[in-house]
Amino acid sequence: MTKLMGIVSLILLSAVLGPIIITEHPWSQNARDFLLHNGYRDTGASNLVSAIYLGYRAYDTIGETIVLLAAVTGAVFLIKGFGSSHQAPVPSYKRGAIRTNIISMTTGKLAPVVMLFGWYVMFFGHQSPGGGFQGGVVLASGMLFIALGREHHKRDSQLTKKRLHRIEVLSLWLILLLVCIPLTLGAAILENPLTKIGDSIPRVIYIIGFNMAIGLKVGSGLSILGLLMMDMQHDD
Amino acid sequence: MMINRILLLCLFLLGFYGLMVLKNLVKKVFALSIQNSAVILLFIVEGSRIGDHAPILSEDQVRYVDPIPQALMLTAIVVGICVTALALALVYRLYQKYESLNVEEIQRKANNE
Amino acid sequence: MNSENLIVIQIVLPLSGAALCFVSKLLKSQTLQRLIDWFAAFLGLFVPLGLLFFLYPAVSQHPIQFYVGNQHPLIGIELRFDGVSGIELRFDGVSWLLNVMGFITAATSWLYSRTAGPHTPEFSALFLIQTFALTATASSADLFNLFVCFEILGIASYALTAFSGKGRAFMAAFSYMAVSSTAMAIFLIGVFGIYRITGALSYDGIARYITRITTEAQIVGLGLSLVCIVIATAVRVAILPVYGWLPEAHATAPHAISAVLSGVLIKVPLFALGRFLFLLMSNVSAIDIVFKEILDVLKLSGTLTALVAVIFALSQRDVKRLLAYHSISQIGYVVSAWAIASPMAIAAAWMHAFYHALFKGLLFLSVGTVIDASGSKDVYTIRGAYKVGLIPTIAFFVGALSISAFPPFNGFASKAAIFYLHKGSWEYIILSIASVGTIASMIKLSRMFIPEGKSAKARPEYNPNILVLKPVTGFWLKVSLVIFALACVMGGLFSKEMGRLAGLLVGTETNPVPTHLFTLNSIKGTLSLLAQGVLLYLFVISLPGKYITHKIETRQPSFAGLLFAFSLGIGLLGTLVLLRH
Repeated sequence: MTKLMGIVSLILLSAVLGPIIITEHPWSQNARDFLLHNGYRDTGASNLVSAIYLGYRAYDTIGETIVLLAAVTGAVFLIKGFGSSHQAPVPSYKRGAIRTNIISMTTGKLAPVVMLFGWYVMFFGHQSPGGGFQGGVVLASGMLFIALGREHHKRDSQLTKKRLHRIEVLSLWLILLLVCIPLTLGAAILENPLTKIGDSIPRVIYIIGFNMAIGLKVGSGLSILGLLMMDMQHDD
Repeated sequence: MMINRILLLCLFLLGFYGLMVLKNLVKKVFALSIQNSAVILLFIVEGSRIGDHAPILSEDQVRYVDPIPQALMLTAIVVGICVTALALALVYRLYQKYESLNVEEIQRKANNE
Repeated sequence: MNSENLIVIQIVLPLSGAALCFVSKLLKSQTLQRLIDWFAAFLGLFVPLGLLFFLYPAVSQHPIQFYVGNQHPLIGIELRFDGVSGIELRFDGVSWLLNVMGFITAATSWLYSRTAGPHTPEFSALFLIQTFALTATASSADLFNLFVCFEILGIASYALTAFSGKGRAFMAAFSYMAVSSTAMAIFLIGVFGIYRITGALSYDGIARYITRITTEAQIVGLGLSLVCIVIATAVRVAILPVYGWLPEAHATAPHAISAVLSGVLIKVPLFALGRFLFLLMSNVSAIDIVFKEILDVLKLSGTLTALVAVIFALSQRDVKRLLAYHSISQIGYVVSAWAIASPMAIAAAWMHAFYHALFKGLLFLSVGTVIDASGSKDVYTIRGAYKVGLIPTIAFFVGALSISAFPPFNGFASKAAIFYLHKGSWEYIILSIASVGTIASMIKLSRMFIPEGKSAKARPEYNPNILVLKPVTGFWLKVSLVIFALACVMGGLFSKEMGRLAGLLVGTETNPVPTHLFTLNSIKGTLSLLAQGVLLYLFVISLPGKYITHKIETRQPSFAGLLFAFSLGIGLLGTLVLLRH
C-alpha cells in the first residue's frame, strides 16, 4: 500500500518537475559578466564566490549562520537537556570498541595538520576556494580528530565543551558587531564601512573579518555537536 | 547535457521515494540528505555550463563559471547539514524513548500513550 | 537615522536578544541569568514594537524599498543585476501589519512561558531567533532570501516543538521536519526554474523580466516553477491537502509555542508569498492567466479546508488537537479571503489573521493552564475546570466567544469582513457551515469548565484524581491572559478603526469591515448560527454522532500519507498548468 502511494507520487512529481529540470534553456551570462567587472573593485576579494556571499548577499549569510546556531542549540539541548536519569548506562565493552589503536594513532597524529589546513582555508577564503563555513567545518573535524586520538596521546584537548561554548558566544557577538559597525561610520548596515574611510585600508579586511568570525562560530558549534554525539556520557 | 539533468531528477525522486516508503528512521534521514544533494548538484551543474574555470580571478582571460549558483548552494548545503543534525538528535531521543527505529511501531506506541 | 536603517535594526534586534540569552547561559548565578533573560526579551520583543511606532508615518505613505549590502549605490537601474548587486528588502504596509501581529503574539506568549513553560535560556534564545525569522520574512523581497528566512523559521520551530520532552512531541517534530524539508527542496527547484529563465532573484528583477516573455516554453517553465514555490509555501500554511503535520505538532508543543505557531507561523509565509505573487501580477504579462488559476485553486482549497478541518475538530478527544484543527480551519478562512487578491481582500485577510492570533493564543494558553493543573488532556474527563482560577476561566470564555464570532468580540468583525467579501457565492454557504461547526466544538470545549454533576461520576472514565483542581498562581501567566483578553475585546470594539488602518496600509480606501456591523440583521444571524451550533453539538454527543466521531478520530495520518498528500497537491496544480498550455 505504501509502495503504491510511493509510485503514484513519483509519477506526479516527475510530471511537474520534469519540464523544469530536463528542458534545455541557455543559462544567462549577465551575472557572471557583472561580477567579472565589478567584483574585485567593490569588495577586494578575487574569489568571486566570496565576493557574493560576503559582500553583496551578506544578509543571506547572516541568516545561514543563524540557522546553524539554531540547529546546534536545538540538537545539543535535545541530546543533553532532559535529565540524565533517562539514559541507559553504556555497557563497558562499547566504550573502547570504536577506537582501535590504528584510529587513535592516525587521527592523533593527523590532527594538527587538519587544524592548520582549517585555519588556512578560513583566512584565505577571499583568494582561494574556501571561507568561513568551509574553514569552520574543517576545524570542527580537526577537533574531532583530537578527541579520537586522545587515547593514544593520553591527553585531552584544553578546549572543553564549556570553553568551546564561550568561543561560540564570543564569535556570535563578533558577527553582530561586524553587522552594526558600518552604522557608526556613516554607511548603511552590512555595507562595507571601509568605503567611507578612503583607500588607505584595503576593503577586503571586512570580508576577512567576516570569514574569521563565521569560521570560529561554525567550528566551535559543530565541534560541540560532534563531541557530544561522540561521547555517550553527558557529563557537563 | 541532458543526461546529467535526467540523472539528477532520478536522484531526487529516489530520495523522495525513500523518505516516503522506508520504515527505518535513519534511512529516512539518509533519503532526506539524498534529496538535498540532488538539488544542490542541479544548481551547480547547470551553472557551470557557461565556462570552464573556477570563478577566482587570475591574470589570464578565461571564461569563468557562474558564481551565483555556487554562492546560493553554500547556504543550501549548510541548511541541509542543520536539518540532518536536528533529525539525528530527534531519532536518538525517539530510540531512547521507544526502543525502536521503525516509524510505524513508534507511531503506534505514541498514540497509545 | 533614516528609515532604512531603522528597518534593519528592527530585524536585527531579536537576534541580539538571542545573543544575550546565550551569554546568560554561560553565567553561574541564577538571578543574573534571569535578569539577562528578561533584558534580552525586552530588547528583542518589546523594543521593536516601539520602533514600529516610529516607522508608521514613513510606511503609511509609500513602501520603503532598498537593497541590503549594496556595495555600489551609484549603479544606475540599467546596470543593476538584481539578486547580484544586493538583496532587496521591501517594507510596505503589509510588513508593518505582520510585524505588529508577530511581536504582540510573541511577546505575550513569552510572558506566559515565564510561569508555565520551559525556563531554560535555550528556550528564550530559540524563541527570539524564531521572532527574528518572522520579521525578516515579513520584509523580504528576494526569492532566495525568502528561502533562507523560511528555513530559519522552520529549524527554530522544529527545535521548539521538541522542547516539551514527550515522545509524541519528538515524532511530531520529526514528521513536521521531513515534510517541510521536502517542501523546501521543491522550493529550491522552483527557484532554479525561475533563475534559469529570468536571470534574477529579486522580485523587481523577475517582475521586469515577466513583461518580456513571449514563448510558450517560457510560460510553462515559469508556471511550473511558480507551482513549486506555491505548494512549498502551502505546506507551511497548512491548507488542504498538506495540513497533516499541523495537528500533532501544535498539540504536543509547549503551550506558549503552540500559541505562537498557530498564531503567527502559519500566516506570515502566506502574506510573504502574497507579496511575491501580487507584485508579479501587477505587471501585465502573458503569464497572468497562470496566476489567476493558481489563486483560484488556493481559494477553493482554503474554503474546503475551513469545513473539513472543523469536522475533524468536532471529533477529537485531545483538547489541544481540537484547537489545532481549529487553527487549520481558521487559516482556511484567511486563505479563501486572501486568494481574491484585491487590496480590500488582503486587508480583511490580515484582520482575521491578527484577530485569530489573539483569540487562538488566548484559547491555547487558558486551555494549557487547565491541562497543566489537571494532568489530563481528554475533553471528556476534565470537569470543573473553573476551579483553576477566575482569570483563566474568563479568558477561555472570551476566546471561545471570539472564535464563534459573537458581537462585541473581535472575531465577529473579522468574520463579517470575510463573509462580506464572499457575498452571494457558494463559498459563503460552506464558510457558514464551518462557522456552525466552530460554535459546536466550542460548546464541547466549554463543558470542561462546568462543575461536575452526578452523571459525570457514574461514567466509566471518571477519575477522581483529575477533578482535584487547585487554583493556579503565577503572575506572568495571568498577565499574559489578561493582555490577550483585553486585546480581543478592544479589537472588537474598535474593529472599524482597525479595518480602516489595515485598508490604509494595504492601499485601499474602502474599509474591509462592513459599515453596518451591529445591526439587527447581524445579531439575528449570529443567534441563528448559535442555535444551529447547539443542534449540531447535541447531534455529536448522541449515539450515532459518537460513532461517527470515533471513526474519524482514530484515523491518523501516517508518515507516508503526509508526503503522498504533498505529491497529490503538487500534481494537481502542475497538471492544471500543463493542461492549459
